[in-house]
Amino acid sequence: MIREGKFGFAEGVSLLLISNLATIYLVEPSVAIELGKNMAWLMALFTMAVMLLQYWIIVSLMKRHQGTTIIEASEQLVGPYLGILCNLLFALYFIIEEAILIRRYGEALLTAALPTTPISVIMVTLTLAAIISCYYGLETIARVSRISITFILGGILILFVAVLNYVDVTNFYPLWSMNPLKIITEGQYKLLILSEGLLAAVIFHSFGNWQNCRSVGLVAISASGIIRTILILLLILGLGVELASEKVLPFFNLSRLVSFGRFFQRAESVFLLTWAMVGFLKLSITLYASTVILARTFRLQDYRPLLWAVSLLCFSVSIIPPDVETIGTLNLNYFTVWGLIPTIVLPFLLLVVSLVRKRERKQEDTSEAGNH
Amino acid sequence: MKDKTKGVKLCVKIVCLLCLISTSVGCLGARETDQLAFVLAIGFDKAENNQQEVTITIANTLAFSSTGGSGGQNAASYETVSVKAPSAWETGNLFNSFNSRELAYMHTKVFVIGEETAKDGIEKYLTAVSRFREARGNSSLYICKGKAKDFLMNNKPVLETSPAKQIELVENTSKIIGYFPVTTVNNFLKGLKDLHSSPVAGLVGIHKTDKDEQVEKLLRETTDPLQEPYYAGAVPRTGGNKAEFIGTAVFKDDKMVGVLSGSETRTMLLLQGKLTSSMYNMTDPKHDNFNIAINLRQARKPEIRIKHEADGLKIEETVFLEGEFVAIESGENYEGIETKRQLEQAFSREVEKQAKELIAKTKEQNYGDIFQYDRYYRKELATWEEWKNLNWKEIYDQTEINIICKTNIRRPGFLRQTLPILRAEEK
Repeated sequence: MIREGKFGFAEGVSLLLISNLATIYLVEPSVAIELGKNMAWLMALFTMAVMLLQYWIIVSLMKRHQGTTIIEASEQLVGPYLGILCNLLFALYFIIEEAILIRRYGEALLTAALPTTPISVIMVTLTLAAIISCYYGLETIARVSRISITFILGGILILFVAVLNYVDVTNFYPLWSMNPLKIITEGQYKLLILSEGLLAAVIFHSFGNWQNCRSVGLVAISASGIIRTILILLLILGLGVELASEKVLPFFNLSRLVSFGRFFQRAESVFLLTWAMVGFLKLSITLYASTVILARTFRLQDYRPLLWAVSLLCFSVSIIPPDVETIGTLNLNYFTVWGLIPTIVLPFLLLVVSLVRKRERKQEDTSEAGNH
Repeated sequence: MKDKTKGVKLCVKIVCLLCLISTSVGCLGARETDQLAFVLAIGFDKAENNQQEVTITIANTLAFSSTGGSGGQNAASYETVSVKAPSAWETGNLFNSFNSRELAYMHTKVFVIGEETAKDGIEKYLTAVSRFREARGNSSLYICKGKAKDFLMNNKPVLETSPAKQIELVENTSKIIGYFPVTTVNNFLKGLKDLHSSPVAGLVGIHKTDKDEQVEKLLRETTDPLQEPYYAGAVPRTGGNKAEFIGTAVFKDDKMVGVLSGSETRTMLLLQGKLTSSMYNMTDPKHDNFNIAINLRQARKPEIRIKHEADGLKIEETVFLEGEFVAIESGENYEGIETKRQLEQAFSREVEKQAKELIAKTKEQNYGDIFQYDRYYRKELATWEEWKNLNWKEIYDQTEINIICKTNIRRPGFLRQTLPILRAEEK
């Protein structure tokens, strides 16, 4: 039996919020602006609504299987063979996410701060940090998240206030400039992926009960959605649509604007710290999820022996793409699209199966009661 | 068995500690300040035979050291050098052929682009600045009347030891006089890529010590104190640092197409809503031989109304100025409520006239919209496609623009009235 420990509301929110915030530090806000132009902020709100719906579906599934996690639930619902296949897909999703994130965070740190450090050194450091965190367990990661979230949110808030000086509200217009249907069909779906729902279903025991799991997720996703919307809004109003769409690290670019008088300038290194915190925690959470899924699927008593093998696999996959452009294309054109299968399609199908089974059981019970 | 486990744990701890110690020496890319040559200013010029000439001003950190070792305190605080190469970026390598330290651009405060280069287009330089990790988008951008090399070589700040500090302080004076716009690389790129209006940049130049025909002509023709027809390199003066910051370079897309004088720049900033304050001088409406000086600031952002009328588009802009008297040479009692109101109205009409002349100039010279009215016109559009394909230049040229100035001289300074000289009154 894998002992995961339990944590409270604050730790749970911090964990899921940090996990969901990880992509705002990378290219995603630029991609959103490129797609939605000056209406990208509305796209971010729409994304938040869809993510909440995704989370609701997963929580509804877990509500029906309260004594288990999604791993056991899938086997109960669709049988051992399909269930294992389903769980392997979940694990594969987290392994690929981890691999892509290691490389993307590594490349981002290289571009922004450590240009002469070999990429392998940065990636090994990130992977080792994730292994060590996972070794200490989920409870430790959640508590570290709880401590870090103050600094992370503080950093984001300070940045948002500091760049208000650069806001030009005329960049907001033309209002309602984009056709929402066109945006959705042309690429909005690439930004809809939510791994926190699946993550919550994997660590379901740690939340204590399903009500806690539901409120933690809804608060975390809403908070993250609001932060993402404000960031996109500030990028549009501060840099303009065209300039913001060009950036590789828009959050970092925004932090480079911060300047108060002659003495308080070049403050991006401060924001880089919060960025690194989020990166390290996100990698730890993702590695933990992938390892625990495999351990539970194969009925192992402890997930720790798998850490080295899984992290080596993630590291090996992450080093394959030859350049940043390739990893970006793989992420946006394939991972975010195919990733929708394990994160939303499969949990939704499992929920449907669960509902059908329940109805069948009810009918059987009533017919048996009639016979008696 | 227990001892063996203890031994393994100890070994693991020692290895971990050694790893930690190895990381404490710093990251692999660490560079000490005494290994670097900090570039404070960069100038780009076109040279003969399709070559590029790049000039850089490097800070001499020895001159700032408190210990003064190696005779540091007597050394010049900066050094300016230039190099020619077929590509501007190749010059970076050539600089290191005669420089002992690696060039570092993280403290580059200003980019100066020569007039000829600016006429050919400057986007390629600015996007490179945006892309390069060390360079900063909030560094200042100036266009030099003449060659950037001459400007950087001849810029010898008298009151400051570092040109970077000089630029920062000079830019503060823009907020006091309003004779040149402070433009950063980011601002310029934002105007260039996000708007249809014409981007502008501050104009700098080197004062000519010998008699200049153009300066003489400007001196002969200037009679109205409200007009300040000078631009960088043509200010009638003697002494001081040769570098001058006055005027504006106007661009069509990324190519420089013209310049604005000091007072035209002030009017442009006023209409853009970016004028912080300025000292206005005007001829006394009641006494032609006397002048009045008023220190005014932009009271609030301009009100811009866009109207679609039967005879075409109309833009009506109201600007608000407020401030205090600095000098009333004639001694006329303009402090009184009625006389002050008359003066305010006369002054407002003069400002409106200046604005009208500047708008007419932008249309005649084919400069396009330098006031960024398209930012407000955006509200009139429904889709991004419409905005993207907007032919703003044509719309601007055909638009009737009315400027209304509202001036309020709120305070008379330290004098509540000017009484005449007693004996003069007796006469």
